[in-house]
Amino acid sequence: MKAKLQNILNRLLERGADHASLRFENETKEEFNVIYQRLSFLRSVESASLSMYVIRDQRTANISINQFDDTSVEEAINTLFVNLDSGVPDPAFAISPYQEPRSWSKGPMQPETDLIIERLNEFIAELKLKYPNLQYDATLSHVTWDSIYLNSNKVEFTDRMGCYGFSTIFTTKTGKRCSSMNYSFMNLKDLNTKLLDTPQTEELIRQNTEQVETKPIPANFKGAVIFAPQVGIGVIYGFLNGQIGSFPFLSKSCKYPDHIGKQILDPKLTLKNAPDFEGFAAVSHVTSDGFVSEAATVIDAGVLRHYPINLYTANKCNMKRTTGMPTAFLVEAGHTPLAEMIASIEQGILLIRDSGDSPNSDGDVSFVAKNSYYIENGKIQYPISETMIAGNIVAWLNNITAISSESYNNGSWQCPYLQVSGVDISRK
Amino acid sequence: MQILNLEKLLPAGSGYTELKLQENRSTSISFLNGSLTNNGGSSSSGLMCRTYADGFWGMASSGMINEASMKAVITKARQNSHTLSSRLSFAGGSLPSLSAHGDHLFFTNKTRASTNEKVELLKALDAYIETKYPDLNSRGVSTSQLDMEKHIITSDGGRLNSMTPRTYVGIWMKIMHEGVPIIHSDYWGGFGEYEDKVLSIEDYQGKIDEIYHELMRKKEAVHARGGSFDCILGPRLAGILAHEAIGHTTEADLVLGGSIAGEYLNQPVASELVTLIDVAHTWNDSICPVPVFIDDEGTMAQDAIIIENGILISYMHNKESAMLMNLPLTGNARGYEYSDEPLIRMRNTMIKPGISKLEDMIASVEDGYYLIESGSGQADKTSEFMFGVTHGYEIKNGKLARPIKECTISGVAFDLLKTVSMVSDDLYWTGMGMCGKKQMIPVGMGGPALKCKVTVGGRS
Repeated sequence: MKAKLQNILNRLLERGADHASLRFENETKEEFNVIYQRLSFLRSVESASLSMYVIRDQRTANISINQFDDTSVEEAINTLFVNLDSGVPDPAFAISPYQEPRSWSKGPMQPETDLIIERLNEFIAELKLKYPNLQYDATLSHVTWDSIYLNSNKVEFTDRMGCYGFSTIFTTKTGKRCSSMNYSFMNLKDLNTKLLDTPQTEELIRQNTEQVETKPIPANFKGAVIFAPQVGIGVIYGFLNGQIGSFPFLSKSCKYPDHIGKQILDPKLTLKNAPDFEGFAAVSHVTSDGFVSEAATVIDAGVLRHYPINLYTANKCNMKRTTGMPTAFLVEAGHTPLAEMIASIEQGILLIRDSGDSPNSDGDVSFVAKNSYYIENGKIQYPISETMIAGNIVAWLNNITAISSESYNNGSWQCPYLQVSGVDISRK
Repeated sequence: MQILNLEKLLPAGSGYTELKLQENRSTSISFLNGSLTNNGGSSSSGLMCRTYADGFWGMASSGMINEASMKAVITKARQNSHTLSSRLSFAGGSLPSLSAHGDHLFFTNKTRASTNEKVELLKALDAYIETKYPDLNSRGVSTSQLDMEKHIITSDGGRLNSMTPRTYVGIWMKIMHEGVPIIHSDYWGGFGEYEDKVLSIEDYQGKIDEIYHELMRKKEAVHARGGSFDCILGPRLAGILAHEAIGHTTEADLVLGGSIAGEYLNQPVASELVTLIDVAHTWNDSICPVPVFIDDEGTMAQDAIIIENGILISYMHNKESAMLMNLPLTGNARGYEYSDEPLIRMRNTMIKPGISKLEDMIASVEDGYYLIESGSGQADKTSEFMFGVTHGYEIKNGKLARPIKECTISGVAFDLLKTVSMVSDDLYWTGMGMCGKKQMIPVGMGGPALKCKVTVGGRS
């Protein structure tokens, strides 16, 4: 395929492109589905796509296709150049500069079909025995993913990986009552572990069985919230993307325009891009703008070290592109066990799942606390219902009172529990 | 897309089989502060076979479109079903059938607009905004189109050739006020190709002025108070309420998976003023935003009346759920990509209009909120829902007061619907929504305004 891609790249240059890049992705998936608590559906997917990006006279156009015969490719190139003529010149458009050719390969490339079925049957049997009231679906897939990135600056990256993807969605039904549904999902390097023993899975299921009976919080209050890892990573991503990423710079609303080396978040918080972290099963090694995703500390004890911006934004805003948006988030664990965090709280919430909209451009956000618990006098009291949490993600990330020593690794990112104080919590 | 003779390729034999050829074509053009930041298009096409035999489903797909590829995919799908049935046992029943056949191809009859014409329209809109409103900090204009073309044949006699288009133009504006960014946006379009939906520059100018006007008003916006309030949900919000709060809980796969709606069939779940329908394709002689005449299992699509005068009377089904629950098919099975299996998906979920006037509804609220525009939303099997509100006003003594900042509203749908005390006599449809449930899918939502009690996530 690489030779064909090189020919297409040459063709784009022959047609008059000043610069061009190609990204080819090919995915195969063997997806075993447990539906209504029964392994009943096996789906095989082969899908591929080719994205072409060209710059001519400072104009750009892009197109993505999945038919690769000569006629389809030529038609796409024709469309691309027609669209290019409609472009608006902008000197900020660019492709990544020359980098040494690199290739990566990681993970199992062939599915172990019998083991997949064995693991799912074991999961079904264990749930039936231990959690008979659980209603669930589950999916265990083997995925291979090949990506080739080429550009006219002689950049050539090949990224290949195989992994297993496991997800389950569940609710507990007791009589006429049911719990709020919850999920567990992750990428796995192998199937050496029973599915119920994968990170967080059984604990979330156990919690779910006690969430059939919920109560509202006693009254509205301002208090502490412990963000579970799956919530905390979303808050951090929302900050990077919405406050210091490409969009806030391009739309001229970044409040931290010249803050490299400055304290912008709580000193307890350190965020890394860790594409080579051994614990990750599925990580892209190439950024969307055609650079190697380099290991870097983006936020170092609350100090901003890198803006997560792409090449276009850097050029447009006269900035320097460094690491780009992380492809493998790793939030450093702290020193406080989760149990101690809970014990330290006079009144607060253990927030296991959030259901809400994205933060607005100022970082304000509100959401419903799902599968979560009320904490009072240092103890978890009961699972809650109809509880809303409101605040500002920038304020929260500047007001971290503790970070847990335990971390959750979902195979593509890792995050501990984050404890934040002074959060508005309201009931129905 | 290359078209194959699916009839010829459909294999004989026991069990149920469906073959699908599909292409999704999309275009997206965006300007940000006068820069053309996205000038792109994509197409994704391929074929798929799904089979059901002895209680097990097998499916395979490929992006390669030719007869040999389809034959290979059929073989693989059958192997997949056999892989499971040879290792596991199940006394499966027979899938029900309500097959239909037809062509529903909504290509435009007008001359195709070129990319250049689309870019020029957006440039003109952008120039209008830049010239007239120089105090803006930032602005964006964009258009997006999605054409979904499907060719499906099923072993129980279903056959569908469809092309379902949708097109939108969207505009947002931002100011910095006392160091804080404030955004307001709107979008227009719906079912149809670009040539049938997009208006002239002059037609958009009034709409742009309205966005700016509302943006200026948002400078005075205050945080909503947290708690439960009498609210008027505007028609756009009522549509997402119908979709998120009730629609999802009454999808039969969620009912089989433990949704609380499974306990309420034929029971009162809402005020008598509430009738909620998932419309297949046509309402009041007009085609809905996401018309489905025949679903991806070849089933004739019919309106699913979920709640009638406050009583929960039915769910939405695909073949498997209808078989398992022994209930009639509704034609709600749809897949997004060629490689996606059909899942139970809503089509055009709406609350039927009532008899009240919006102004009377607002006048009836002493202390509450008028909630106009929504962000994204989520549902739960408990019927507890949430969705973001991006535009709204306080109501004080029956009159609109200050605008409110973005917030989230939530509630337990089957409780909230019992508090509905007024339903307006108008109906607003939107088809811009994409619903996520393993796959994304375009959905239509419609609603009148509702007066009800809602939990608002605000500041204490």
